[in-house]
Amino acid sequence: MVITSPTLLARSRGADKYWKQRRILRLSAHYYGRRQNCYSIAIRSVRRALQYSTLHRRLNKLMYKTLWEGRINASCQELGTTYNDMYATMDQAGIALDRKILQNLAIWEPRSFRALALLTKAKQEEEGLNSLDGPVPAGVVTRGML
Amino acid sequence: MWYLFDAKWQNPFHSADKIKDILTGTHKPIYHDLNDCGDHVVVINSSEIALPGVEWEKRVYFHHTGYAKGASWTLAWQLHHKDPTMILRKTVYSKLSKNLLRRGRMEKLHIFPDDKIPDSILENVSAQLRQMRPIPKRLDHYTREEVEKFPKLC
Repeated sequence: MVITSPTLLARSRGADKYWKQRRILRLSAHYYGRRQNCYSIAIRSVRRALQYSTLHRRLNKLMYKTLWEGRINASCQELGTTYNDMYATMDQAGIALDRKILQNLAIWEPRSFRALALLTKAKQEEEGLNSLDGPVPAGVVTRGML
Repeated sequence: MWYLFDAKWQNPFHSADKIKDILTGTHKPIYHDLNDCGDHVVVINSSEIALPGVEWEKRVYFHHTGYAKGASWTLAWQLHHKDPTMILRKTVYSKLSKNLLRRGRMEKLHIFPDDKIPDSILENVSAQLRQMRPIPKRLDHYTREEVEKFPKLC
């Protein structure tokens, strides 16, 4: 109702129920059966959907991360390294490319990726990764035994 | 792409790890589950696979016909006698991810018990997968000169 006086204002309750339900039913427009048109059934599905969407914002990032890591690993295996070695060595070399860029390079710029992989392989030997020959890291006490 | 894999004296469980990666397409940088980017693998000499340890006697394959009293437990050597391709097929099937894409990926796997491959498949094969276990040379396959040249202690 239109509020034109203080008494009406005192008597007024919440927002119109129709518009609240419309807000929910708008989100359930692509659902199956009564879930798209009947409010009391749609509210259950829409609440669950909204909960999933908040929780899965984090999962989405993890999903893409694992996909990118797998793709980079595939290219690394072709070139004779592994993803773990390459990523760790790039960190040591100071190359701050992330997984998204690396997987794009692996797909669309294979020669650039190959250059990076060979660079990391050379750096690995220098740093002594996966071998006992390299320089001993700082803070390790060997007492001449190693 | 069609890959050839010689399963002679290879461990089927280790080989299946490599084969399943090729079938799913995980060896490619364009990999995605829904991309259907797997490659074909043609396995030859599957009758000459080598199971580790006591697996031939101890490994058991279970099958149920669906009817009453239809459960059967077959030992690996018995299954191998019946069908030399089954052990490798079952191993790859169990290693693939358990979703609806599995059956399609198994269709890309072609196993043959010996060297004979049909021409229609052989003309597609373009590369070979490296064997995981190196095959040692038999003593009677060494030539007389190699045996004489080999250094002796006394």
